[in-house]
Amino acid sequence: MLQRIGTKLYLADGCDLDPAALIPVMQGWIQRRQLPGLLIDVADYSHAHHGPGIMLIGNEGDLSVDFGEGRAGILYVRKREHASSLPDGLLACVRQCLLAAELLQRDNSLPDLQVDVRETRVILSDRLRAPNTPEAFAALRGELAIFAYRLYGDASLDRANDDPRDNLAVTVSAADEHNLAGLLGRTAAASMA
Amino acid sequence: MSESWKAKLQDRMPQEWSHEIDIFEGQMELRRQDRLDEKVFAETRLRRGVYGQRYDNGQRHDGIETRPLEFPSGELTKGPDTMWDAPGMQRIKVPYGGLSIAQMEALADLAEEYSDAILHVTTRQDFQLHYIHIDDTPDLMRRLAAVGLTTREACGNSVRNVTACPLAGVCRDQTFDVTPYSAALADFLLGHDDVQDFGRKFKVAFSGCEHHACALVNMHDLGFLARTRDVNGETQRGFTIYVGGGLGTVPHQAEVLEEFATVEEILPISQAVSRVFARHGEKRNRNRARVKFLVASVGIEEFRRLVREERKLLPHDEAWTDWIDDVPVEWERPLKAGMVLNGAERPEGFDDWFRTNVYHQRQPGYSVVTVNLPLGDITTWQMRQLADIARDYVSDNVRTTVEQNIVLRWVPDADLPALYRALKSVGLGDAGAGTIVDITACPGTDTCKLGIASSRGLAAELRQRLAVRNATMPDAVKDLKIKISGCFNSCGQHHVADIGFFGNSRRSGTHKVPHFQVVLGGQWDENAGSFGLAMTAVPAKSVPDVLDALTDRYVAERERGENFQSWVRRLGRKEVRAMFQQWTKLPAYEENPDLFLDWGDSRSYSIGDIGVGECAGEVVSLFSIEISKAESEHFDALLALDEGDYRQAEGRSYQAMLMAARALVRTQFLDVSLDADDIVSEFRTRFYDTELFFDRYAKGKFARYLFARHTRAPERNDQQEARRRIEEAQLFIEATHAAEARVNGVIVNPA
Repeated sequence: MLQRIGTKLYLADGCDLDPAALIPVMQGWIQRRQLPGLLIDVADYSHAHHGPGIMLIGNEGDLSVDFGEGRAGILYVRKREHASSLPDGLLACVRQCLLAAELLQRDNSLPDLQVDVRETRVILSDRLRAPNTPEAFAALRGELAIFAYRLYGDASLDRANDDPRDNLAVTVSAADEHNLAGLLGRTAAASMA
Repeated sequence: MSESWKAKLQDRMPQEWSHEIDIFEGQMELRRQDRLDEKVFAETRLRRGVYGQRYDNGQRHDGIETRPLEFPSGELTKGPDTMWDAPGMQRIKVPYGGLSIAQMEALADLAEEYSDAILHVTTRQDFQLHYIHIDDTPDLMRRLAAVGLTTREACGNSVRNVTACPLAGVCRDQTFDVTPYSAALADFLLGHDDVQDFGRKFKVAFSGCEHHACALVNMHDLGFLARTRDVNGETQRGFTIYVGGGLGTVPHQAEVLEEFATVEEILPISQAVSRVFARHGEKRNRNRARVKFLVASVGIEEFRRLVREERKLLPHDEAWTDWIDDVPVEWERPLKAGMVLNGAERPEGFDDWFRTNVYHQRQPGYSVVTVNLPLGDITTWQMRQLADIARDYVSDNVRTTVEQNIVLRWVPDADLPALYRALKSVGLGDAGAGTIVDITACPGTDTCKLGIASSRGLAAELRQRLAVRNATMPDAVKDLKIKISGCFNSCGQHHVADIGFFGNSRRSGTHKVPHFQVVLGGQWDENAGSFGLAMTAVPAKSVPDVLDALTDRYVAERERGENFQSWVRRLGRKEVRAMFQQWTKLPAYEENPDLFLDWGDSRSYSIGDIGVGECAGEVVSLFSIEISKAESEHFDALLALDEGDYRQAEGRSYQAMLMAARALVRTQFLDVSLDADDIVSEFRTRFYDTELFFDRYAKGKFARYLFARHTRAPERNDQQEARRRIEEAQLFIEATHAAEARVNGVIVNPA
């Protein structure tokens, strides 16, 4: 079972975002318990180039407005064991990203922030069981395709890069148009358990 | 694909390290089953570098109220008031800061898989990973061990990372390269029997010269300063040895223990110092348990006498000197031939970077490049990119620094423009290394249980503001150093900065206000030659204005050639305080609510999250630590039995008895070796023949289990035999506990 898995949804092109503005927003989520799971603290890594930005540390996983790859997005990485299958686990991750996206887009202090939900990056952070190799990708492709189908319907899967040192990351691109509300509906059954 | 990291890396880990990690994993299981006392486990955990973090007591102030954090493992703890599931910190030792490319890549993998994709360089040249779950630590340690890195004794009451000048070997002013000597001492003291019974931590540093900051030997428990002397026309290498320095709440300058010790003597003298510290150092009062208090209390002459007496009594150890013949003339080899920088096109920004981040080595045609890390942080992606850059330009000649940066050594000068472009492209090309923008900060309230104010938040703010003004700043200001600690414990080394800050708090009406005490005039050079003076506390949010006022006045009033320390002395504490007075009067909350917040935190400021720090470790007897290893070995024997590996089950149960016997012997005789014959012989003489091991009913029965097994291994290895041996080992361990309690009057938690 892959334990450390994650998904990232990208912010729409042209979003002008001050990372510092996210700190009170995420602190507020902790106060009001606005995301599922045990939320612990907010970490500020906005000084790091292409780094994890502002991170909401949780027990089950960490959620960040992340600047990795030079593209801002909402990243959720599940870090503790979960009972679900890989597709179910990934759906729970992406739902966490979608819920955060909904909160961020609704927040008056972040007027320019928009999330583009047509592409999801899947991250399998486990070099023992899922090294970044064509073979590992091929072995996991079936389960990833189930996840992609349940999220988007028709979608394509591409290995994000071929540096064997990196995590195995897969870009899932929707064939059709989707919006946040629609994807929240499609993932409504996903569970954090 | 491999089933586990343990199986995959079995052949790549040093056997001893692998075994230690297995023991730690066994101790974790014992703790989960509540068969190991939480205090003993806490110290065990700390000695594996597994440290607590803020909020691990299971509660957090969210800005409105303190709320419980309901972790899934419920009441299971990994130490007093430390919840099992709470995110923690893993510290990783990097002796003398030396890193290989393989290590850099492994560190990046680990931070990505177990932490938050950030690697943090500490003020002791270590790395720290934050938000780690304790369950992940054994595999993390195995993956480190496979590339030659250990976490052993990175925390706890033992010898911490041995640091050294990051320029050692390439410095233009060094006496000689201290790297091999620091590596030898780090290796010798790691896990050494004589460093297991300290009342507090113990920090060691090596410096190649006297006048630069180098390795800051004056603020270390044990410091080595390279010296040579002429003996019959030949140059002899050695060290001036310093002892009893330290920062903390009460900074002490180190004193000279030995004016000149030959290289052959540095290991045995360090061992003797360790024994003196273990024997005479304070154990009950943690606030006075560092060696600096012992030196201050008995006086350096008496301390020296004790060490010299101890040195005479030490049993000879080949390990003291058997490494010396292998010390190479040059510790490192350059990847490329040295070439001068001559007429090559210079990219934009290069000249500023060149001025502050490039140091010309003593070897012509080569330079050291400092990679300036904001707040000591580097992302996992950047670390891999930096590994690639190292591969292209310098190979494994990479080191961390106590200023929380990374240096690339042996860069051919002709490659500097290309190297700058490469660093810039991955966000690692910031100029200003070693200047006022290169601010050192401890973790503070971000993650530290003791943090009072946000040292990292303040450092980030000041760095951002100063970087904007850097181009127009007078050189006298650019060259100043700022260091920030989140509390009075000095992890940010504020005492040895020109301008230091440490966190505290004040009250205005019913509200707390985060503050920083301003400490001025510390000296970084001369190996931390003098400590700064606390002036006054100002609100955290006022610090940027305070800094502007201070530096403006320094520039305006300094006399020709007058440095900052001299100017502060001339100005005097009274005048400095008067200058800061306008910021010390606190308004009512309603007048300026922003002042009541800390940097980088939108919550109403509270000190309610401060917990009990683990810097001091847990004061646990040497016996408790050692017997817990025997119990872990016994637990592994049970696992082997369950798996049907009867040979291993029997072997481990025998090993558990030996470890238990040794734990007991070491309460009387520290020098017992690891050899089974020695252990059994000493145990027999001291505890069996004297009947100290005997209890009222069983007499010496359980000891005879050990003697019988030691004399003869079982002829068969089946389930029944293995089970019997395991039960005997259990009874022997129990009897050892009882004997220790009878003899020493210390009740330890029975299994």
